This record gives sequence, structure tokens and C-alpha cells, in this order.
Amino acid sequence: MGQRTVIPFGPQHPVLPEPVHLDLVLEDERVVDAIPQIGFIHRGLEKLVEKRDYQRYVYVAERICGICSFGHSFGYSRAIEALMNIEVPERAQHLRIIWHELSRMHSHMLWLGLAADAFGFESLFMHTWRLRERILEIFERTAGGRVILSVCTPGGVFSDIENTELRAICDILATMRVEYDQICATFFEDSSVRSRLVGVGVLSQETAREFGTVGPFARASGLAIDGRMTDTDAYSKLVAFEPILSNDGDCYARCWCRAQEVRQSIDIINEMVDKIPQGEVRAEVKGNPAEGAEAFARMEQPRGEAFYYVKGNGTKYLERFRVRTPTAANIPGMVAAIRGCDLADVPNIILTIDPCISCTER
Amino acid sequence: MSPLEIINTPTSELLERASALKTYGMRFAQCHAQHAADNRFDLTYSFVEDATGRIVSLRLNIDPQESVPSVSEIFPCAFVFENEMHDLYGVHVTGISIDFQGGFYHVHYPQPMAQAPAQPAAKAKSAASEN
Repeated sequence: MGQRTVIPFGPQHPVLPEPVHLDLVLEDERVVDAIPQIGFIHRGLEKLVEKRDYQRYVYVAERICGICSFGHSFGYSRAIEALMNIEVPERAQHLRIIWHELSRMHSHMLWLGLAADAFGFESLFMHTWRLRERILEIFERTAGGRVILSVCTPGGVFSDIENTELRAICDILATMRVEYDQICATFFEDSSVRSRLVGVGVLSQETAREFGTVGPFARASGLAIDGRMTDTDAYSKLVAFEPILSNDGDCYARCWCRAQEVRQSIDIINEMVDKIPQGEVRAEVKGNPAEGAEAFARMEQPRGEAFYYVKGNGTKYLERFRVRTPTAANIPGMVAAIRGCDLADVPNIILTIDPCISCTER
Repeated sequence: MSPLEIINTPTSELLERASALKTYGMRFAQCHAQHAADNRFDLTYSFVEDATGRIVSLRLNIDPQESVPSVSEIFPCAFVFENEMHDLYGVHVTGISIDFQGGFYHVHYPQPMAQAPAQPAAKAKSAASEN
């Protein structure tokens, strides 16, 4: 057995866009244990719910994360709708899913670019982000914002998208798909990418389940966990939905799952556009949540399942808002994936989990 | 949306019931603390059945000074949320598999969410604006 050394990794590190700290316990170059630490950017957003009108808090909720901003406003709105028994108009349900799947595409492409940059493939990083820019342009055309959309609200959405505009979005996605396939071919067939990712940071299905992983991280280990499978709103109207799975559980499999999910999102958007009915896009939300009323909601965010809890107290302020983000659930799995790897592979393993620390700390 | 299933649970039965839910095939999703009546805390442990989307929660009502056993021996992933309950609310959780002893979150004020909610002030403000 080699001499044990503890190397602090983060909270400031070139590969980490956000601060997370790991104490890496090494035997020679091999990591035998990793102890995580977060809490450097806790913002107290859950506490803020006690001082913000529950309808206006949606603007705070979407700022939980800059990448999943629409998803968090969607999840919070769903929790409020469950709390107050609000029926969301069908057109709004479809529009929400279109925006949400576009967010998933933009999140995965952002991540793909960052991952490529991290292992030194800068041209791939630039091409991926060039393609992602088109999604941001769609956001700007349909909602007015590129990152924070402020379009989702309890009861529905603030603005409609014309059917002709929806068709135009499908056309943009069709052209994007061709270019995206070329990028994926480069990514998944390049020998240097394979040598950095195949067999690295393997997480078995059993360990992934034991450690409560969610999202593409879990699905890359063969766990069929995807909130869209059991969703009761417009997702349930899809002809078929199968989560993208791999059984390899390594960094390469995690990349592959996310890449396939972008294609899957394009298919979902096309189907939603084909099926979207005419009608209202927002139900009126009146009154305050009842004293003691509680509700849970689950959302499949780009990084995995997010879990929301709200409790009313009879006023326009909520008693408690709780969000458990996907990265919070994936931290134990990340530690398990790091154990046993080489020190040089730690950055890649962390990146393929796509951690979002701002979300996690709220 | 899954109907609300919250099971009131005595502290002494937490581990047994959590273990039974694991045997049933449910996944630990999260746990969190919140203020309850009479200066007590409600702790909610949520579990998900992935095939159906069903959510089951165990609810403990505890005194803030009371210790709660950790479920991290049954669900290793729980250590994140149990450390969070301790660091933000000051809940005493014993036997956490990775116990940071209050050092998981770097917060400016110790146990920032342990302060009683600003609800009395908020209720007054709400009543004033409704009148």
C-alpha cells in the first residue's frame, strides 16, 4: 500500500464552474476516498418564500438555477397548482413542455461543450455552443429572454406561441439535427475522446440505486428513472416514451445518454407541436393556499429529478418551500464514482455528472 | 400528480418504516425540516416508487432538542440531506454515515433557518393589504 495523501480539490478549480470542495484521499495516483463539501454559495432562497407573494415567488424560483431556470419555474408552478387544485389549460401544458425540452437541449449542449473543453477538444466546444445559440435565439423570439424566460406562472404561461412560429421552431430543429449528428459523430468516434472516457468513473447499477442517483447519471448506469415516464400532464399524451439507458455506467455512457436525449427532446417537441390544441394558456389563480395545505411535485430537469414541496398557511406567503435538486441527489453517487479512479480522471468524472452547485445550495 | 401520502411516524419507528419502504422497492428522494406548532420541528422523509411516480412520506414531529437516528445506514444517499437539516435547522441527527459535524454548509450565521419563520409579520402584512 502506498503512502496516503489528501489533496484538496476545489472549491476554485479550472474545471469547476461553481464551487464544490472535495478532499481526495490518494494512495499514489489512485483516489481511495473523496469527501465532498458544499455550502459556499448558499443563498437562502427557501427562506425567502416567507416574504414573497406565492405568485411572484415564481421569479425567485426560476433563479434557483441559470441553466434549468424554466424547469424550476415549471416545477414550482406545478407544486402550487397541486396545492390549490388548479387545472392548467391543455395548450399551456403543451407550451410548457416545448419550452422545457428546449431547455433540456440547451443544458445538454452547454454541458457537452464544457466537457469537450475540459478534456482539451476546443473546436468541439465551440461548435456545440454555436449550435446551442440557436436554442437561445428561439427563447428570445418566443419569451423575450435568453436564459431567464419569466414565462411560466402558476396556472399556465404568460404568453402564447403562434402555430406558425411553432412550425418554424420545428424547421430550425430539423436543420440543427443534421449538424448535431455531425458533432456527435465526432464526439463519439474520436479515439482521444474514447481514451479519456471509456471505462472511467464506472458506477454500477446497484451502486447507482443504492446512492440515490437520478437523471442521465442514473440512466447511464441502467436505472430507468425518468419523471417523464409517469407524468400526468401533456407528457402522458406522447405516443411512446422510453428513457435513454446505457448499462456501461462510465463517463462515456453518461455523455452518450445526454447526447441521445437531445435527439429525444427534438422528437418530443415535434410531437407536442403536432398535438397542441387551441385555447387559453392561463387559468386564473385566485385566493391564498389554505392553512396547512401541502403538496409535492416532481420534475425531470435536464440533470435529473427535482423534487418540490410547498406548504400554505392561509396567507399569500407560503409556510415552507423545499426543492431538492438533481445535483443534491447525485453528490453521493459522484463520490462513489470517484473512488478508485486515477487523480487525472477526477475532473472528467465530476463534469460528466454535470453538477450544478447553485441549484443544490439554493 | 401523486396523491399526498404522509404517514405520521414516531421517532422510534423511523428506521423500521424506512427499511420497510426500501424492501418494498422505494427510492429515498429527500428529507427536510420545517417549523411546526409549539416550537417543534416537522421532519419529512420522502420516498418515490419510480415505476408509478407514487410519493410516500414519513413525518416526524420532534422537539428541537430531541435526537433523531440517521437513515443513512439504510439509504447511504441520505447523508447530504441529514447534514443539511443539521446545518440549516440545527436538528440533531445521530449516526450519519458521513457526519460533517456542522461543517457541510458554510453559512454566515449558524443554523440560519432555525429562526422561527417571519410568518407573524407576514400574516399581519397580508391582512393589512387585503383590507
